Amino acid sequence: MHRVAGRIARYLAIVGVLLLGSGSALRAQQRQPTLEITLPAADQLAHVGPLVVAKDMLSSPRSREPLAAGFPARFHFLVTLWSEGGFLGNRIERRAEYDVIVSFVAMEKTYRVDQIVNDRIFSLGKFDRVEDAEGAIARPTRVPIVAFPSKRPFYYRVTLDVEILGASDLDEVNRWRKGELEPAIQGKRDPGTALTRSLRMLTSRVLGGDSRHDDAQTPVFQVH
Amino acid sequence: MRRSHQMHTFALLVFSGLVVAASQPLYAQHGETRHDTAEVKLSPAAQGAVDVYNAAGTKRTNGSFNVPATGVVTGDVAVLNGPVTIAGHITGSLVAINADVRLAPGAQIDHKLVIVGGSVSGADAAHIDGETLKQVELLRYHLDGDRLVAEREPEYDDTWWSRHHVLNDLRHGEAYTDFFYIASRAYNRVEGWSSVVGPRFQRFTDWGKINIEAFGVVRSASPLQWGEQTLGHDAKAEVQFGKPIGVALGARAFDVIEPTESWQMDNGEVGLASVVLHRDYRDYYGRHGGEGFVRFQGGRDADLTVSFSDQQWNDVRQRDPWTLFRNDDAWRPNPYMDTGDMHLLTTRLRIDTRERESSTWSGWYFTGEIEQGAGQLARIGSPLNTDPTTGQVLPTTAEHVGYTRGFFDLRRYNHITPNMSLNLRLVTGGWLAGDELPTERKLSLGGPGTLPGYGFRETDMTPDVMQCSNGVAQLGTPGQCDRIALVQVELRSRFFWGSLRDDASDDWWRPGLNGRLEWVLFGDTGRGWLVGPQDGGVSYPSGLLPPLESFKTDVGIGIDFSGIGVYAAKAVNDAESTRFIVRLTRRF
Repeated sequence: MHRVAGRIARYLAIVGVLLLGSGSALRAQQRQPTLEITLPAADQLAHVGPLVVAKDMLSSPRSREPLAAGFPARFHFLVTLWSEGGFLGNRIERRAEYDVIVSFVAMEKTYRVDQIVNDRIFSLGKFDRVEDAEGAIARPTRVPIVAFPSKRPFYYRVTLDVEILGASDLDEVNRWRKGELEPAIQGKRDPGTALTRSLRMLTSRVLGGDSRHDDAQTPVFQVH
Repeated sequence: MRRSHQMHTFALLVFSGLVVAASQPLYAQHGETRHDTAEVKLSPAAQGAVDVYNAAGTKRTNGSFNVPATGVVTGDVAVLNGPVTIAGHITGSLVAINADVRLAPGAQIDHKLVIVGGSVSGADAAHIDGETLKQVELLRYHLDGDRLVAEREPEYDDTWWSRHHVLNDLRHGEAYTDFFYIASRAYNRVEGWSSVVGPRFQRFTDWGKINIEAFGVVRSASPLQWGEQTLGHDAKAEVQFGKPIGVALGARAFDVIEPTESWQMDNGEVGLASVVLHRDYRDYYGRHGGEGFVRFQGGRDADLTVSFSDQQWNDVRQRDPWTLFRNDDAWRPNPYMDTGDMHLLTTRLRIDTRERESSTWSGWYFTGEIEQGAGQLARIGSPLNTDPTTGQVLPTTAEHVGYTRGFFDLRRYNHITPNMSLNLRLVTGGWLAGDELPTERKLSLGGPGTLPGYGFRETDMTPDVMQCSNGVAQLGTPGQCDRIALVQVELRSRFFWGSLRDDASDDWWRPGLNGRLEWVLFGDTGRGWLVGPQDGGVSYPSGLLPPLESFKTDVGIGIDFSGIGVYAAKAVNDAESTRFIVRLTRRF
């Protein structure tokens, strides 16, 4: 395996360099998904949390096509407050999670955007145009995890996992909205599908696929 | 047997201690005073928006709102969600809540423009006679009839037992009913492509969870025949009382092909290496029987399972399943395994405080297992029972076997700077008490999953501290160590090269960079040994750890493409050539 793996590694490296070089030029002309997290004003650090914005999240046809085909997209945000300098490295002091689910309602030909916080749906609207749905995803969200007076410096971090949900997840989402069932929108794959799951993972990561991960963080700050 | 019972009790105490130790940082991190302010303090913009929305006479809309160039709207307008496009004239105020506003040149608003949780474009070319109020963040509210009621920001209970994902996973979980569910298992040289087929059912109730699966197992490796070589089964019924913390009772009946050392590499990696490269990184045996179990579920973060099973172990031979490359090559023979009937009492503890499995930031991960086995085994897997010249199995009679074996995998993930992690792993396990371990329970090191600077199942080392072959060649070079210890360390960090990001919208260039690149420096050290009189080679008395200088060490460097990694590893102690490895998951 090692010899073959070595050859594959060399091949991937060459292809990667070529693609990276050519990709950079193209990328500059296109909208890119951007995840931002910003600190509140200095005098508000101990009173309000950071602001999270996820812009242009549906700018890629790769994101839009599954949506238009009826597969909802799940944007899972995990926001954490970290402190620096512990014995075992930095540590998480506080955390908050929320989801934004975007789905296409075929009967109405509209895109529906919902934010889910603490298992409660908050509608961000229904839109005819995917660009407007994208705007709803980008609504700046204030996350109420607040730093506290400490000798330790802090920073906030947000991670975003974007996932196109499968057909069974779609069923669950719909039934959940109708109040028939509790939600199961974890985006999990079937258990036991070792080979298909790994092939899917490989396809997803090498060729680009149905999941994406991004993160961002604030500068380090202190609260006295 | 009394000694093994004491060992079991001791192991449970160690488990308990580790649970407490692992929980300490979690409790500690919640010890400081928190200063959440959850008062509903509205900004002037939000207050203005709510006031206008609730005022009598305001025209209210939910969704898209357009005023064409020739249009005139009399009075105040309040729009939820939008979008709002104004080319004409509004004689009152315009309020946009969680909506974007586009103002065409010449648009006119006679009073205020209030935007909450949205953006405005074209304001410079429009006529707005009143003030413009803005609030960047979205407004949370609910509608009480026609009245809009602002809400406070949600509060998060982030105590470890109440984490959002714990609640979601166990309160909601995944409900399904499939009458014909089919899923593939890891491709391997004994079964080829094997799959489970059959009905499955899972429901979450007010009091817990019900899960039933009744799968047949079908194996594709030739020759296909109506018998255990091609067919098997794996059925399970489980009822959980309580959520997210609860107790589950269950039973399982199985006739499956089981790997001996599944801890080294992921199922997916092993399956792909087999089907693509004709390299199978595991050995297998047949397992046929049933078990009952009780599991104490502590949310997603922890569970403790105690199971008792009655099972028959069988020797299985490799077959010749198809592979993409090297299809004409011979497979590494599956080593001979001990056969017979065994009763197993197994205690498993899992603790996982990691933030996320796929891209870990910080936390502990621990799995520990104590297995007590007793039964009648024919030790055909033992090297002493094969003909050294032909490799054929010699006649062997079943004998009583009783043993206790432990296996522990402890990992710590540390964020030492915002973008850099130092991760540590200790794996140790093997014989604890009783008779010699069956071949199915022996261990080995070396190869991509453990010490990548050394080859997988290569026995040219003297003494052989990877397989503990002790100079006795055996078909398929099985792991024969009674005990192993392995320490892995890795430092990983981002490149900080924005140009290498692949979060772009471009579709055609996507060389596996769905996340961010990381470089990885790593080192591994470990060895295996036999338990017995010290012989200056691979055998050490039960209470003695081999000298540290006898451990094999490698170091390496790699690039991690968000899970898929390319690594180069070099043995430190031996004159091994540098090895290149592709991993499809993180190293650990």
